[in-house]
Amino acid sequence: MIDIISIVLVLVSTVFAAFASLSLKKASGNLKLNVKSLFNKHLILGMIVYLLSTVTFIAALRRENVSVLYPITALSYIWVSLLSVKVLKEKMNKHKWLGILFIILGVILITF
Amino acid sequence: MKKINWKALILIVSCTVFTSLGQIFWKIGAEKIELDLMSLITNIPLIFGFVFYGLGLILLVSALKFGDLSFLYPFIALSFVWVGLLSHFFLGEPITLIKWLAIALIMVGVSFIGVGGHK
Repeated sequence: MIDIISIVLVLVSTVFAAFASLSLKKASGNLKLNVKSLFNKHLILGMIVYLLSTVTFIAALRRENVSVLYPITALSYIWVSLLSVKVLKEKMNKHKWLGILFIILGVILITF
Repeated sequence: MKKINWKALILIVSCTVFTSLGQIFWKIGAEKIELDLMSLITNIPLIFGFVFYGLGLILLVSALKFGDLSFLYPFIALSFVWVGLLSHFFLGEPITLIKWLAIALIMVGVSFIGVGGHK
């Protein structure tokens, strides 16, 4: 059976990654190519949270195989889809739901 | 027959190769981690992992200039295949038919999300 702590760490990592990704998306909306853009709060927040995601994932990598853990990071696609509805006012559709179902099945199966 | 967006395709596939290599190096580096600054900044595999990951990110941003996410998502999912292969051949991790099935399911799922997200 796969190491439980590493699963929890990867789960946390994917949640961080999803929030980071949305923050970066918000930053890219009105980003110009100048120095002031470096201080865009969404960009900075996104990068910090992304670093947290990376650190927790590497912590998980200490304890479990990357061929098991890396596919689990696909969960971040699920969190981004769901969060986008709340944060970016995007809509769910049957393609997204189907995608979520397949990813869940794959993530469960990779742990066998 | 739809025209294939070759620039975006080459960029995104290269991106996946780099990020997958990054993951392998991170795995090697992660196992050598000790919680002191000196050993962290001399952890070559870990550093290489960040370098490869960063290169992958640059390639991703470049790919996005030529193609949109709904086109790119299925190819981004290729990284799961590369990591599966690289981890087996370079790290000796076991790879089973069930794992390949899991990867296939995830690739299908990511592709659906790509299609659904950006119609």
